[in-house]
Amino acid sequence: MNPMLWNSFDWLQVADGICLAGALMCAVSVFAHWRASLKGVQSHGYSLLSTAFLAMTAAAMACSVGMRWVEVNHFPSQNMNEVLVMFTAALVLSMLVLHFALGLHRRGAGWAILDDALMLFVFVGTYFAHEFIRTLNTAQRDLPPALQSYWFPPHLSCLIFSYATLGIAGLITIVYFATRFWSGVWVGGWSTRSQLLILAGMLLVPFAQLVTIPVLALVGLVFLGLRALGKLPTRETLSGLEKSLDDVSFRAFAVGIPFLTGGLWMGSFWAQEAWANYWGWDSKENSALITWLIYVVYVHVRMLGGYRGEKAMAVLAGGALSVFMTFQIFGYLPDSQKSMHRYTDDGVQPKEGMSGGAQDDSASAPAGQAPPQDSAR
Amino acid sequence: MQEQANNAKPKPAFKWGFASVTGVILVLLVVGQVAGELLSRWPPMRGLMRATGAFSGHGRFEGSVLGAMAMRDWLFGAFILAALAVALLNRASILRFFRTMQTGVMLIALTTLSILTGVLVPQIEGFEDPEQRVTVTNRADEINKFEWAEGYFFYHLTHLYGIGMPPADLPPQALAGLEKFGRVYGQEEEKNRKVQMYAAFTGRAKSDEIEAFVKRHRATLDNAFSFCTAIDLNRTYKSSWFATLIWLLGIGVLINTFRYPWRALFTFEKAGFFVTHVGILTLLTGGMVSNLFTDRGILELRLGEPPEDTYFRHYRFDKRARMPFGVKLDRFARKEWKAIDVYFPQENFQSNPPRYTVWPDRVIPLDWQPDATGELQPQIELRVREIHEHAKVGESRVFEGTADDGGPTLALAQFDAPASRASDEHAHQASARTGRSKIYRAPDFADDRIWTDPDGKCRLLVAHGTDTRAAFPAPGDDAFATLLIDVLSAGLDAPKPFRVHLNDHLQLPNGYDLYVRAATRDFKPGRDSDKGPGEVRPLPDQPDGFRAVWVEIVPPGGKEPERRLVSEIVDPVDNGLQENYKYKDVVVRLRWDRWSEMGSPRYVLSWDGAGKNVKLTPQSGPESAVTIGQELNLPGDAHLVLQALYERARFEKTINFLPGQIDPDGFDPSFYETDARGMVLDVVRFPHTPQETIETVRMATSEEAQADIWQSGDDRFRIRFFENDEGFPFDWRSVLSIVEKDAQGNQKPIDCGTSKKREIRVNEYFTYKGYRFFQTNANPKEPTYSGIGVVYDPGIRIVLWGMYTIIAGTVLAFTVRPIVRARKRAKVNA
Repeated sequence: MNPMLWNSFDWLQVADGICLAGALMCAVSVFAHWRASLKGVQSHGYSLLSTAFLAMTAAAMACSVGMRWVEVNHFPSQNMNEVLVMFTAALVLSMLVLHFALGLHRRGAGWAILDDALMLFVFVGTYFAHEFIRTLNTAQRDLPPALQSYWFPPHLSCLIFSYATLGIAGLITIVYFATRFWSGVWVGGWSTRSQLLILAGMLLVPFAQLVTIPVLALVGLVFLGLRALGKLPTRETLSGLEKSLDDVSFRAFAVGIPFLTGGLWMGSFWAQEAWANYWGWDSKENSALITWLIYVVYVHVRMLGGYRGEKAMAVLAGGALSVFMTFQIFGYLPDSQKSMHRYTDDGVQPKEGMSGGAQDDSASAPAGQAPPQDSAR
Repeated sequence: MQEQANNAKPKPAFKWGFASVTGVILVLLVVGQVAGELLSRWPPMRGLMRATGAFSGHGRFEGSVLGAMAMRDWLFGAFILAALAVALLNRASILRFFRTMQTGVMLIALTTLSILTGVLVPQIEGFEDPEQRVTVTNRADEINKFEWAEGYFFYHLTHLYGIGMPPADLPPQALAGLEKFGRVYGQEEEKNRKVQMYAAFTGRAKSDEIEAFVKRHRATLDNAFSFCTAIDLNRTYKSSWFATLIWLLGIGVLINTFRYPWRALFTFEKAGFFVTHVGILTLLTGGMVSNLFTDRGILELRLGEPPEDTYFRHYRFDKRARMPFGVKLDRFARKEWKAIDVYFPQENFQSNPPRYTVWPDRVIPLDWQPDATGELQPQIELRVREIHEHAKVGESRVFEGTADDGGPTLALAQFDAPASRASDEHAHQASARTGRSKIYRAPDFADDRIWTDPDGKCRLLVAHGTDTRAAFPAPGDDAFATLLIDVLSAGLDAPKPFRVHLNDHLQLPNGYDLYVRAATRDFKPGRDSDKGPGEVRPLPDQPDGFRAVWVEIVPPGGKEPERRLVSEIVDPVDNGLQENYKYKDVVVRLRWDRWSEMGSPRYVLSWDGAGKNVKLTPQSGPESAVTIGQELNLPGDAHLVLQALYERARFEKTINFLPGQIDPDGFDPSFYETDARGMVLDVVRFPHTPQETIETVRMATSEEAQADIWQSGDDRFRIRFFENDEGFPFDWRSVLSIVEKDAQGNQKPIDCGTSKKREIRVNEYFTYKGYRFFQTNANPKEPTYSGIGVVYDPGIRIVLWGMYTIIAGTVLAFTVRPIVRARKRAKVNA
């Protein structure tokens, strides 16, 4: 390997630089689109620039993941540091896909603001996620035999891409509820109970300081600005906006759900090859299944029950919360203590490939539990 | 009257809402749970369950079940028939119930909640076995696990964002040590160790608080455990209520999938959803088949043993099942990851150096020093050029260097001795044939200067100088080990050494007391436990194996003491054990003293700096002169012969790499050979500078001729190449063969194809008569043992088809449908 090549963390820094520039571009774009919307002018130029930054970030992230692959000699998802880098790469890629799939920038300047805002969140989120990633253990870890499978990259990639896409759908639901909350404060029309419920949800959700509180604050600032300018939207305008947010979040969900389904069941295909057990009721498998089932509920209430607005959005937000719990909080759940999927935790010996030995058989204690050979002489 | 009746409006159908639907489903779950419990004891059902076992080869019909029916069993049968009749008569209402959106949504939602329950309530060990329950035997263990898991969860739930958690500060000495470590092994390694240390410090304080939390709420937690046990929440997925829920879900999906005419189902709009539902039905059907017929367990096979047809069901030693054929282990091998570590002897680091897994082109920068601009630059770079799976170490030539050849001073005694048992696995073939090999002992290296007779008849220490008597332990000094103890919170500069005897009491910093309770020279994981040794013989009579001690750590303040097993070969910090100890503040490492421990007679072989005045001195008795080539006068049958003495020993190793042989069908027989592995490494000094020098080194993972060690000329660092068996292996493989009994009861081999077809790995299984065999277990201490997972599950294929169908349906519904729709819309607009 040529040592003069940038390593994975150098590429991460490059991505960070582009993220900052992209975030700035998005902020300018939000302002420009806002002005354009006031004048009723269509403006796509700024969106193009923001998208270019997004594409550049995706390219830098791809280089970082690729270099890490070379550095650790396997698909880089064996510790939390690598998994989170994969996630931010997927987040940027998802936003790029959604930018074109949702086509918000084509709907007019007003909609382009939402597109800009989502991209802004993705840029800022990616930047701060990388700051956090740098504090994690970055040591190379060998792949246990069970992870040396062709299923490893597609299973992980599908799930992480779906988490990112469904996370963005979840972000739209947060924007929705933040808009609902501030419209209730400044425009009125919502009960105090409903307002308090939204506020409680925003504040009490795990790691609220990372997503819900910033979004609530930002939307609040927008409303404050509009109020200062005397341009607070009417109830009808807000109602239209909420309907559109509902529609946009469903489209984002529709992009992510096939990947979640594929990733979930690919895990089963893999498990039946490794252990002839397509479903072991392991807590990680169960957490992923819970997430999938919540989205199944969402599809049913939306498509069969005709639910729109807050109820459907609440289920969608529940799905995003479940994604977050499966991805990041899983290790704290009671049944996860003996999970075979804790290979990203520091200091936890992965149990992959060890379905166990006959109990009470001293002669054949599982390999992971036997004292190591005297390799130190 | 008649007219009145005709004019009466029909009673409006009951409108199902979420609450009423939930109520009905919950009632059905309760009925299902009760019925499930009764069914499991109902003779016809027991007979059916036994009969279904016939498919997996270990079930049997046991005659008429009706004869075993008591009155209550007949009543229960009548109840089932009545329930079925009521359901049949009310089928229209039932269909309407299942066809409401609320029922569908609530069935999915309740299934989700049930699975969530299984995540929030730790499932009992072995819950996969439908017969497993909380019993008097396992109750205490299960309660402990439950309390810890729930305590861990609730502690974090009540300390969101880390608010209220104990702070973790590393002592300045530890930080300084880490910085020094980082200068040698790189800032990334320094950061990673710091992260681990912080985690260990926070983890320790957190564990204490969680334990206190559990103690405070023990009564509540115990009650919660009893409640969960009573309604099977700690074996959720095998409970009757969960099975009922899945049945209801399946019925709901079935009714709703086919509620519309066929033509409507195959419209573009509905096809995706229809396919998805068919997939779910297929999956549930396969799951039911699996549930009825699956059996799984572990087959314990050993090389050279006859075929085995009995496996341990559900990995339990007390449950066995027999297959209709036998399985024999033809080949087995476990291969470790190839790794190096690099020692810097002058740095005197207390913790072990990092281990680097090696592969071609890996670059490892080391020894970071600031350049002219102050930026840290590596002074050493190790570049892995080649890795070889098979290496043979030839006879190495050891010769005396000269004072000006730039090499280090290295005193060495060379002996002809019985081949080392430790290196048997990778022993050089020549020595394997003769049973003897060249061994070297170095007086300047504490770990390499003692030779012990393989039969325990004597031990020999090589020493430099003429005062041989000083080399023997002082009278009364029979400490068997040195404990290196660090109390992290005390901020010691370095771990404090304590030479110890059995039952010694040590007073440690910060008020800790430590008692040496037991020790063994031959630790065996099955016989000895964390609590103490199973070996009853006195230490000197025990065989030469893995050394370990059991200490008791008593913290200040009269808290509960901790019994701890300390092994010589397992570093508690590097192996992550420290984090699990009760008193993580106290780090204890063991250095066994093979010289001062009581045991076989001691001898010292000494010589002066010029290789003269060679003499053998027994601890009791007169010394005698020794000449090169002479057999030493030692007790036992080792016949140790002194072959040479060196002052500046230099090695010229011969390491040859051999190509592997892969059969045309891809089978690699050389995987099962026990050859050492080889590596070609470029050792680059002052990389990327004008002073750069490159030395190409050939190494092998064999101790023969020290092929695994390379030392830099200036003695700055030493590289060790080894197979890392501390964690998971790189790979393990078995080749199986099948035997069946013929009509006469003789075992005859069955042709199951080539070795490639019969080879199993973790992700590649072998199938015979519906049984799947996969590699699941191995034991580095027992190289001939292979643990083979056995599964008989005819439902797998059905389930997999269900999953493929669900994926296809989802893609159709959410990817293909919107794209086609958008295109149609664009066409219309155009």
